[in-house]
Amino acid sequence: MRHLASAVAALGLTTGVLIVLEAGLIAQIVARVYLGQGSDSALTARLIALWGVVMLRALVAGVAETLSLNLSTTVQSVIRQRLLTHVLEAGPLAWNHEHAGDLINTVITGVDHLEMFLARYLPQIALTAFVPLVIGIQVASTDWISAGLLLITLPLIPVFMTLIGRRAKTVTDRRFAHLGRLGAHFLDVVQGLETLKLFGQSQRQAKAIADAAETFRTSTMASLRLAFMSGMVLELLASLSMAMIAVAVGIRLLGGHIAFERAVFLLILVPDFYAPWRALGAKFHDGLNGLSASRTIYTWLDRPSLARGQGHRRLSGRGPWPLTLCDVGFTYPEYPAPALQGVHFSLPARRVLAIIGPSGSGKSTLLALLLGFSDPTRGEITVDSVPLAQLDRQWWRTQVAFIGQSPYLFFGTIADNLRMANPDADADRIAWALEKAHLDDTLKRFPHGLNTVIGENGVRLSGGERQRLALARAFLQARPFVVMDEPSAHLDSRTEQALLEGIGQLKQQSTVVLVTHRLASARVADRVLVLVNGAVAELGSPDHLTHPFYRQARAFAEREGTGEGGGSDALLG
Amino acid sequence: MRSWVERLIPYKWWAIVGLTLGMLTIAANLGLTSTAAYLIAKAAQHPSTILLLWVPIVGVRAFGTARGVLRYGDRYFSHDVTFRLLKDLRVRLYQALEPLPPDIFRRYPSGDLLARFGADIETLQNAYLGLLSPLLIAIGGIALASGMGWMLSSAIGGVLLVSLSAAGLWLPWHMARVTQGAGRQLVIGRAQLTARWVDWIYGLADILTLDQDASAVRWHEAFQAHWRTLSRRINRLKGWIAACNEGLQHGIAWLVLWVAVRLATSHHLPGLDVVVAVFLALASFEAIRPLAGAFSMRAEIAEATARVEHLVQSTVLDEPAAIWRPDPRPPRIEVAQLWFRYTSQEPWVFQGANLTLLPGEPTVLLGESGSGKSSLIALLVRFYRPQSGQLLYDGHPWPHIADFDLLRNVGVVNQHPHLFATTLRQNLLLARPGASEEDLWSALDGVQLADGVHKLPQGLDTVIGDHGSTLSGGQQKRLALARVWLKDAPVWLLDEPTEGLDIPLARVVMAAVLRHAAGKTLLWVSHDHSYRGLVDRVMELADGCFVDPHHQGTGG
Repeated sequence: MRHLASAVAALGLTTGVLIVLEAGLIAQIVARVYLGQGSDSALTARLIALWGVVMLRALVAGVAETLSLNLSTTVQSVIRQRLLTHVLEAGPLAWNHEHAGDLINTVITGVDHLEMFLARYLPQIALTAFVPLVIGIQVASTDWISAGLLLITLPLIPVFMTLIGRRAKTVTDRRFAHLGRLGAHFLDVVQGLETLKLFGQSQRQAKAIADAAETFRTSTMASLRLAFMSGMVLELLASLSMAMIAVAVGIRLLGGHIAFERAVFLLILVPDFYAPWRALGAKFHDGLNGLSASRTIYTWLDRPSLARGQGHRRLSGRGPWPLTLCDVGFTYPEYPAPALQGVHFSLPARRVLAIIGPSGSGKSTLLALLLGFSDPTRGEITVDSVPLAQLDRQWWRTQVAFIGQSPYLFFGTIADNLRMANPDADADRIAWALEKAHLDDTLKRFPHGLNTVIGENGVRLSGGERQRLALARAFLQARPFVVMDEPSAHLDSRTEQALLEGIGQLKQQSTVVLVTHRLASARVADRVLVLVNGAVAELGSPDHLTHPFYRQARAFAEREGTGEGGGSDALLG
Repeated sequence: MRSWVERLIPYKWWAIVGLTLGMLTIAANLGLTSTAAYLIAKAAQHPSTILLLWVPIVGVRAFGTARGVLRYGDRYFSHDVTFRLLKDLRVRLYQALEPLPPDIFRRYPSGDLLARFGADIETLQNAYLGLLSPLLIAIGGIALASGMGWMLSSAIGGVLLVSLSAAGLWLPWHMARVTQGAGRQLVIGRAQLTARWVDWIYGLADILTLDQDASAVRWHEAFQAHWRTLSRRINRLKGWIAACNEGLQHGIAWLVLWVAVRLATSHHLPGLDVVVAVFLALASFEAIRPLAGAFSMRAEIAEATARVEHLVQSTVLDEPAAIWRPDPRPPRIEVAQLWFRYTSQEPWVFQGANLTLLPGEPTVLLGESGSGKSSLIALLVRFYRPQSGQLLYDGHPWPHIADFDLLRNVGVVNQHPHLFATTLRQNLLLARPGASEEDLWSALDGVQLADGVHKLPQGLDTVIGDHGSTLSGGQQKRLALARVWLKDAPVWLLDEPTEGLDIPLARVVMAAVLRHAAGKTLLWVSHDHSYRGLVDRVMELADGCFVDPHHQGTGG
């Protein structure tokens, strides 16, 4: 930072000195020619010296531009990396309720705006701080009347700048927020375009996008008007003062009170005194844009991670270890009502726990806590008697396999998506995992098999196929803990049976926690936890549960279960 | 660039006003500096009366004030035109995307589309503001400055014309060519980065549990290293441009001074004009100053234009004209000898399949995961077209019906229904924009969501988050079901509408739905047996054909 400050000061001072030198040489040459005093050789020498000064100014400008742009490139790169690290550290719960489009706008366009700020606005501030200083001193030593006129206009500049700047800040912040909202809206509409078409609303969205774009345009123009206004005030001040000095100098020339060379010198220098201010006014908008963007960037970066524990402990052995939840409660930052409260149970190693409960009762939140995406806001989760918060979170994630409600498939081939789970897996191992997940037959239908490319979010695979691909990943991972959020969703009863066999095998080496709505999946569990409104309603083995939801489902299954083995897939809460 | 000029036409008067003001600003600047110089030089000649100085004094003040005001006007109008153009372009981009069939549309990752809509269009503001408008103003400015120089001496006018043209037009153009590749790559890279970020945010849970965070960071680091190399290459060019700009500005003044000195010493030019010439040269550079920076953006602008225009110009295959309009009565839908696969690379989904759906006879469709149940719905709403065979709506082939008419008669719950990041109310109103408060609540009541929504502090105006993320899976499905309830179309296509619901609730909801949709043509794709006792007609999809499981069950 000190290097930067001294570099910036050196830039300003050098530029100022060069400007004064150039003005002095031009004034001398012009005066000599005008007054017919100069010898050819003296003029030539000065012209050569002037050429040297011009080249030096070019050099300084070029070096300053490259260096400040490179500085900005480095800073932008570092900030993007920090944003990514932060997003990864904070985990999905911290970002769930955000507009992804807004965040992405900050990462891409917001960080782009920083270049304007760092490479254009900041060096201009340096020039504005030093160049007028050097010129002012020079003018004062040449002619105190002109210096006096400069001094009169000078204090007006910061006054106007602050007046306009304060208002401009809010307007520019609003503009940046509108841009974020515009992007988020577009992303949402694009991702839901099929749904919009189905409701015949897709063409009307053009109007909504036009409105959002119009709002953005209006706020852009509002912030620009202020920026232009400040530019105009500076221009007027500069013009006014230049006109005053020109007239004052002219009148004194008339009376012979000032030398012609000095007059020319002053006239060349005065515009340069204001030039940095005018340039600053012109770049004011860029500066504000950059500041708005950086404020938004820091709000994202300062967002606290919901998982606060910064432990470093790792458990010995290969697990699985017993798991205990002690009076666990969780409240989302945005919602006052607790999502979970007083959840209390323990699960010995190599068991299967099924969590059932009505829609919206907090099942997925409980899983997120087990995955370490967030710390409970009350109580404690312990693994082998060690609180989860004390564990090395990175390490803990390597001990858990997760199959979500809608598993995310990354752009690439099926094989790519499988190797993510275990980069060392050989062909045999992959074939084994595919068989276990009952995906091998499906793959045979694809001419390219494992090398089939699946698009964004795996659009070409059916819901059940995606689920089974995620299951195959879990088999490849072979982790001591396996967490599943509705693994049998989208599966027909035959495939579900296969999945349940798979869970039986996973259980030999892992502890399995699964959320399910299927009676069959709950029945393979050693224990079933009934979660109602964020609290444990009942916990017990599947054969002895008495909670009404479970009993209704079982009664239904028994009544209907006389068909072709269909009883096993009844739904429950 | 041509497309930009075309887009400007609706705003041509605004653009003309902006350009005129821009040129007047340059003129005022030239006027201010040369009048001031004239004033000083004249004063040094000690004229007999101060009245001789009166005109230049007034001139200096007038030009000075005019410059500030004119510049404000120039900037205001040119920016206003630009942002109107960008707004139009954003709307056009969406309007071009909207009619694309999903198989073409989904080739673009949503992050890539976002990059086009956001950052690329932002880059394009430099096409008019940075490139087109300064270029036109510069041409006018060069003519003006050279003309003024010509009045002093033809040599000075010539020097100004040649040097300003070379500095303003040829040099930046040449420089821009050097970094063309890097500029294009920057724009393409930015789109890649956007697409990756969309992946990272939506796949965050999976990334973390699959230990892909380190590899994401690694990818990002490699990307950033590449990006820094490209940026530094461009930064070096921009440094050269800044150096040339600064050097030329003063170099031109030096050249004019040198010519003027030569002319003056040989008494071809009065001393007074030397002073004016130097100040004119110093001021004339303002006309071409923005050009160098503008041209360094040229490659980025060209690439961004290409990316945006590629979408805007994309055309949909011509549809045969619709010749039949369905009425609002529930139809008989027939699927006859249907053959379909997504691409020739993929397996057949349907192989000569036949199915009939009748009004008032709800049909449950079973089938293994991946057997094509969701594909049937996609075909019925014409997101895809079969390779052969027919879909018939009351006996009329599908292509005879316009998209709009067809979709108006169909209500669909997708396997993954999209919920919009807005309020519950707005999500529901999508289905029936004019729906009354009462309608909304009765739909919510039908899917057993009314109680839950009543409990929310903001009720129907609760914002449900990105993709409806504040709702549980079962609530999301039911909200989608409520939309179809509101739409109340003659045809109901429900893809696993009870996924994520417990059995008592699923049966209550579906019983209400079936009551509400009594007499309609309804297809219910299911993975479980919760339909038992609610629906009698069951079909199964296996090996690309529809079969009646009872027939098959007894037969073998």
